[in-house]
Amino acid sequence: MGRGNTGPVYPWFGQDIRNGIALAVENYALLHRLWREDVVDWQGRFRTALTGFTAVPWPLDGIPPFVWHGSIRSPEIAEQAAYYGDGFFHYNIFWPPEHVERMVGLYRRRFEHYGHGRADQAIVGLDGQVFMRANSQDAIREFRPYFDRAPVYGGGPSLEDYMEQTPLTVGNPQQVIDRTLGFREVVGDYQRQLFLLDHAGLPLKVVLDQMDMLGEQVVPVLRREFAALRPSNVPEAPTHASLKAAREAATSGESRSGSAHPSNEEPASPVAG
Amino acid sequence: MATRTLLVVTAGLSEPSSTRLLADRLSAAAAGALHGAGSEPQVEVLELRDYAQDLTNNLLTGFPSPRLRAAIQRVISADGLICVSPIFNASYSGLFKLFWDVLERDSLAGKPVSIAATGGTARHSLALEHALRPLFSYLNGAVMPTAVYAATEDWGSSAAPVDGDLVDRTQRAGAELAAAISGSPPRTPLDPLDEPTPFEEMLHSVRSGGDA
Repeated sequence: MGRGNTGPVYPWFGQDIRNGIALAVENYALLHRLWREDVVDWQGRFRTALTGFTAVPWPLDGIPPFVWHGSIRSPEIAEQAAYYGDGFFHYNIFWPPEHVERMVGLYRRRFEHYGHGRADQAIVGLDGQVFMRANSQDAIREFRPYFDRAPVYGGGPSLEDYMEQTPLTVGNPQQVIDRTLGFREVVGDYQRQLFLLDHAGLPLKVVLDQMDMLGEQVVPVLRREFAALRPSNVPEAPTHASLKAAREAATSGESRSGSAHPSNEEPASPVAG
Repeated sequence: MATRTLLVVTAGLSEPSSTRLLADRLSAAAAGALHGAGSEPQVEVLELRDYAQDLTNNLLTGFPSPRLRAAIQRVISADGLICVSPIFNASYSGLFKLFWDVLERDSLAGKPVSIAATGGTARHSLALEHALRPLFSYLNGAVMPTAVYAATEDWGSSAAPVDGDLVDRTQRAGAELAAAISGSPPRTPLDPLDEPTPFEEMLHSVRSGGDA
């Protein structure tokens, strides 16, 4: 879940960006109840009150979906994710690692504070942005004109400075692998890595090439390496299957109760491309 | 003796600039007054010229480079600021404004700030009152009553300015800043990444109609 970060989007829904955080807090608090309580009486600030309301369709198998809260710079959203024991997804594309470390660190600390498990067991996802060619110099040469004219960086720092200061990686697949594995030194062992490939105005054909390279040369190595590096006490990210299995285990009394993120018989993949 | 940090932020362009000269006189006056009040003043200088490229980049990318971040951190942790700009086209210079534009809201909350400016002619001295003072008031700084303006003629000589001379005003501004710094505890600004608002408080605040 993301709350939308551009002012003009809010009026489309009759809202005001200055209430962005308050909306995210209230709306999710309501959704959280609607997925868990059959009949809801509710009154709030941003929408009509509900009396005896039942949300349909009911979550599959009666299991509310596992929610990730996405944020690049709002500590309130990290706090919200921690409060509910939900996942926290940090975009990790436009800001330096010191900031990424502090945002994820805040989420982990508060996750533990709210009793969902230890800080290193909190469920973290990151983004990252890459451009690859077999030869790293070719990657730099080909990407630079797009970088220099992209709305988010154009006219600003050099490609080299930007790569040094943010997670942007332009190079060969091995460099992408090394840089990505390095993220766990910034945020600890984490559960999901997303990649931004369609950026800076790259043509479709190039983006499709990038997807092939990512899938063929990067993701298999990352899956293997991340799995080998992750300690056994750091859980997988919950999936519908794992939550269902956990519930069945709990109701049949075979498992200890109260575990927020039980292990999964069919592990979720650590990398979602 | 408690050490109090006095940070000069100057947007002078040449070297040495009259803006920097004025800043040095002000910081000497404030440091002297602090010393007299039993504190150990530590004067530091931030020349914005050195950050011109970083400031532009910050504006375009939304985050400060490591060296600019370190400079911003110095501003946030200073006990008092002396902020000096040349007056260009009836207001502070663009470089000066750029720096304050990249600060987070409340970075200066309650911080004693002394303002000063330089210009070719005394006719622009009120830019301090209609441009610099509202800027720092908006940033919630505690702006000192005496602002100091130095025109080219003030560096000269015999011309006696009407409104007390530069030396008097500088001493008064320095004394005001020193008193404000002495009267306030050393500042440790709250960072929401260190001290988040607890979620229950946010929920309650939304329900009662306030900001989350």
